[in-house]
Amino acid sequence: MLVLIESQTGGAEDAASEALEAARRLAPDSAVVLVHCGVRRALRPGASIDALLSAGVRILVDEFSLTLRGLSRERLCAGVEVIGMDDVVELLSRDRVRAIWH
Amino acid sequence: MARRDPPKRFFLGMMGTPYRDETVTTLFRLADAAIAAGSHVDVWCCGGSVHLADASLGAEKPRDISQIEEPSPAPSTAALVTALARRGAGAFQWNICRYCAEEHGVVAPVPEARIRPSLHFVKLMSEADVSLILGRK
Repeated sequence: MLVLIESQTGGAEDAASEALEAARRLAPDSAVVLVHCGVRRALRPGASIDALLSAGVRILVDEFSLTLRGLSRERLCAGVEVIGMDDVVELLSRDRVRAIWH
Repeated sequence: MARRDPPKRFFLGMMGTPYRDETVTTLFRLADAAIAAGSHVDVWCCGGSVHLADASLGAEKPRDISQIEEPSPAPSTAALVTALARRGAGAFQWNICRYCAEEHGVVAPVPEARIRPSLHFVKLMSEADVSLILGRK
């Protein structure tokens, strides 16, 4: 299983697009954990996140990073999950998981 | 997330400039959560992050003059390394790349941190069940 930890928000030159595309191709055997500015990707309207969810990718959003930016759960796309760091550790500890930080 | 697999051995690499964003905070949060789950954690520091465990940082971060009324200053990163080592009780090790330490002039880290030969990176990573490199050099 691929776990992509995405820390950057999208921009004009979205360097994470290839990594997110890899997560989509590996669905449902993939998950994306959004941290730091990456949590902004999960804000509504989020066409790229909706596409990943539709493909079966789990989208997990770091609650701490949300709080730090004053963002509420209500602003997130439907279907994303808000998690803590203990959940990230649990996910990474599963067998056959490979994690990539971007 | 109720599923629980047995505790694993974590290798967390911290690369490059540490204060550019929240990566250091995430590193400490991740290490703390892994220790709480009963895992063994090795942290490896390269580049500018070799200074995070400097003993000269003292116990507390310098006071933020924009919040001078704040009564309790935050702990320094060196103090956090010490605290994690105590909490980990043998299951946590903070490792500093010797090559980067010499390049950056690190001479006195806190006792809980060890300066290691740079190739020790490979040994620790190959022993780990979970390897994650945070940040970019």
